[in-house]
Amino acid sequence: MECYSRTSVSGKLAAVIKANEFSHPPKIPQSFLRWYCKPDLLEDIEGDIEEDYNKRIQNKGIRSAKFYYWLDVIRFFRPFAVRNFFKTQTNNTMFRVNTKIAFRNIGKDKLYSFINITGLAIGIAACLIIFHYVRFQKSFDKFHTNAESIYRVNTAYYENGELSEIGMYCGHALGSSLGRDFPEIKSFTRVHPFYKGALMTIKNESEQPFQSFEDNVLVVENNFLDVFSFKLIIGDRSQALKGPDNILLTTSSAIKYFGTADASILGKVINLNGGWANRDFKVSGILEDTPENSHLDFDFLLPIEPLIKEKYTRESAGWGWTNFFVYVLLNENSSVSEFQAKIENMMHEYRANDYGDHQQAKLQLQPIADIHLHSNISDGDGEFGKTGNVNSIYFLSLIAVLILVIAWINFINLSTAKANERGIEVGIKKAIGAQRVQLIFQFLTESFWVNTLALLLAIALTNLLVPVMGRLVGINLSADLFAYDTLIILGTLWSVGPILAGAYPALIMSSFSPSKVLKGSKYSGKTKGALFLRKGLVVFQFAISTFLIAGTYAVYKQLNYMRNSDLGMASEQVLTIAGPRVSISLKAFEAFKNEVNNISGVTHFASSSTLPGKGFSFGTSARPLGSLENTGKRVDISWVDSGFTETYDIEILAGRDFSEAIRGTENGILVNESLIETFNLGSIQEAIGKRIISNEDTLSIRGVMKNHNWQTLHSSYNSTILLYAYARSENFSVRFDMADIPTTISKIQDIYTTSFPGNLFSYRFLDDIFNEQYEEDRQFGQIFNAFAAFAIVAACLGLFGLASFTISQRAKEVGIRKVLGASSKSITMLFSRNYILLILVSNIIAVPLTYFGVSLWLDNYAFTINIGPELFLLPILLLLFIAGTTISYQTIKASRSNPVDNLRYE
Amino acid sequence: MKGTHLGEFQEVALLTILVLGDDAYGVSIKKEINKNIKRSISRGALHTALTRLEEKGFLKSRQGEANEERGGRPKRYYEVTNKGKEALHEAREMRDNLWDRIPSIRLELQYA
Repeated sequence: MECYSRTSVSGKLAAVIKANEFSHPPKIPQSFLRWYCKPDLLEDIEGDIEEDYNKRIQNKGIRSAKFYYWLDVIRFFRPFAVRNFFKTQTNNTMFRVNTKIAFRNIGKDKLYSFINITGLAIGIAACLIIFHYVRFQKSFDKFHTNAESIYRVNTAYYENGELSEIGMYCGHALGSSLGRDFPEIKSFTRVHPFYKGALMTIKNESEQPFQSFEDNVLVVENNFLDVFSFKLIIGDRSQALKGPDNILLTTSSAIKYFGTADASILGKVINLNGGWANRDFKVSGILEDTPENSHLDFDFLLPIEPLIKEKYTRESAGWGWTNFFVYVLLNENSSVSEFQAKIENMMHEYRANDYGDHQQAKLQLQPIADIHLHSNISDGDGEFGKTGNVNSIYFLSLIAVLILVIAWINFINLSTAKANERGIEVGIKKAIGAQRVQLIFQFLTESFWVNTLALLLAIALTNLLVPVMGRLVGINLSADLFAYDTLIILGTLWSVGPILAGAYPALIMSSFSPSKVLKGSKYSGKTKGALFLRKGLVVFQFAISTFLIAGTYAVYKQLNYMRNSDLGMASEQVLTIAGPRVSISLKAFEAFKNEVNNISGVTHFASSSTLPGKGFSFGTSARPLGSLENTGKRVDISWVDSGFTETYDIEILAGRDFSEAIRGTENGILVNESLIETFNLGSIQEAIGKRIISNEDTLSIRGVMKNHNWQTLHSSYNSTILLYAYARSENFSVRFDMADIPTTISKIQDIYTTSFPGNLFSYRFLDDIFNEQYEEDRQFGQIFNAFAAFAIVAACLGLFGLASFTISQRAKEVGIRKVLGASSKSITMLFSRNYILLILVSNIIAVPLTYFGVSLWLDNYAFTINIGPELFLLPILLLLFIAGTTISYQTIKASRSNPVDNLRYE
Repeated sequence: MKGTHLGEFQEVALLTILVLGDDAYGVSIKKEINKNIKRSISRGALHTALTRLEEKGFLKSRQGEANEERGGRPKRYYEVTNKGKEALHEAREMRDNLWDRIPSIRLELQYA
């Protein structure tokens, strides 16, 4: 299994170590040499080249030696040295002759060959590019040696027998209990994300201390590296996490802090300040950067031991602090389903009191390879790390196949269109005794070579475009054409493609009767079957194109809608600032708040536990006072201070906001309209003063807010409760009027750095926070867009070929019409009409298909655009325009032709 | 004459092999030629010539010992056969003959 590595620092190190002994020459040229070279020459030549190679390493260094090795191998590629690839037991004379004929034909009509080969190449390349992306998405977490036996333990919560949510967080005691009680488990490893990050400092004797804020810190079990196969470049794998003060860095963090990633930084001290820790750690090893296809993404690893031993010392802490993920490595021979059945009710054995009669918690095992694409985590902020969408993978694969089919259809259409020109050749061959089978082989050989050329071009295109695709979706992707699965696909395309695409034209062309074609009658392709097939193929192509264009348009409109829709609160000119994370004091906060409020241009200031666009602080079950205990429904809760609703301009429909809240006493809660509806509390006026029970607290409703999109438009209005806090340190929000924004921000920054020394000032605008969450949708749209373009280009090439075919068929008809007085315009119309009709028919097929596809996609969103007629009209008009332009060259040429040229042979 | 004719480069290769004696194999031949005729020849060109010469029977080759430097692959040593030596003599004679027949005055460099 391959890793998608982020840096190649380790590669350089390895090179230096290797250079001392006889080095193994580069693999790719070596296997190329072995492939082409005559067996009886190979051994000497390989030896000679390698001898030179080793000498060059000593004289000029490894880089130049490698370069010359490549050069030597390539320069040796000469006719006398190349073995005979076609030499088999069977006679291949005809293949050679056919090959020669094929290449002459390819060279004869260069435009036609260009269209044919490019069309096919585009199709194959699209297919290969999508394949690379799909493979990357599917490769997640498979690089671990034990990938198939590692599972994450998730907890599924049921209310009244109904699944309410699935979470991945649990207490650390779950891990140790599992490990103790079940022999099926080979080892377990617990992971604790370092919430809110930490400030890392290194102290140099001479220079200024270097500081930076780190979010990607994981606290892990000391066997973490035994279970997972993250590469440790420097350090002792078995001991690296065993000391309580050990810290592991990835290569890029090592370079960031120490400027180097070699053994010299082992034992150096890093101070970590944030959350539960303010202590010194010693560097005990350097890891390779986490591969991009890993769901666990980190820059630092800390041992979990001190956390559990020193922090979570209360008796209930083992189960009560649900801040851990537990991964288990199962023994190879144990059955997963049996084991899951055994542990399913474990939470109730250990924590019977945590759950009411109507509640249930079941443990589930999730294979780590499923986490990326099949994440089912629904609580809190969802999955840890970025997830992929398995549906979009299927969808892209479908598009890949469709584009390939379009390309093959083109080939079929263009080849049959050319059939006429081959008529005489076929006739003469048949007259002098060629059998039909031989002709079929001839045309299949041609198809084989066109496909082979297209495949080569496609490989070049893939190499070029896969990194572009990677950039589009924000990953580091490069074409890997030698991976065994790529080779399988290439091999299949190479062997099956020519037959699939070449069979029909070969059958048609080999069927010509010699007496007819030699007499001069042309192949009309007007038998019912052939006509229907060709038209059917065109209809099919354009149905797919309409579908893709309409899809692109729908994605574009939905994205636009989401970006511009009214969130029910102020989203512009709201600046959000990450609160201080170390040395927090209320006094500093108050000073900061006052000073910021005094900046001219700043109109509002608020602090809150979380921010719109970033999810809620937590979700829990709540019910109205007086209702039965098992009627609880999910509500989402965040803490805000008194300035919050005003800062965000959230409308209060009834009651009052927190502006006159009194510190430390019962202040009540703000709820949204949706909550009133969910709990059936009557009108918004009636709801004021009613009480809600949540987590054994009774909260009275103080005010009702208008519904607003706290989350992105993917989710609908949740039942929301805002709790009052005098001040929160997590997030600050500032709203300003049209004042000079950069100056205001720099003023705020100055105040921030003086009020909260040691903290880094980082800010974002609220609309950016929202837009970032639409990033994945935007990428999907772009991919869709790109491949729709692929499909349209391919379809138009096909249409162009078909139009040129039909028009050449009817050249005499055009001549006669013109002689009888038809105008150029009417002839252009005559031909265009046919194609317009075909495109309209294809739209009839495409519209329901598109409607279905688009509504399926829109199901991902709670707030969507309406699927209206313009969604279809625009793509259809666009396609008609493109198609019209494509055929216009041919139709206009036909209409302007001189009748004499067409008719003089009669 | 076709079949026994010696090309200029082939002649150089044969002579070089004779110069090298027991140590004539791919790398050393190439090095020696590069050194003596001050022309960078490629491995491919050399082996084309060696293959032709072997086909004509002017050369014979045997496998030598394996060598770590070559990744454990044996060297192939070349040796000029009697037929090869005859061809060399013949080529030289022909050339000498022509040289002898040129009046020395015509050989002097002139301002043309």
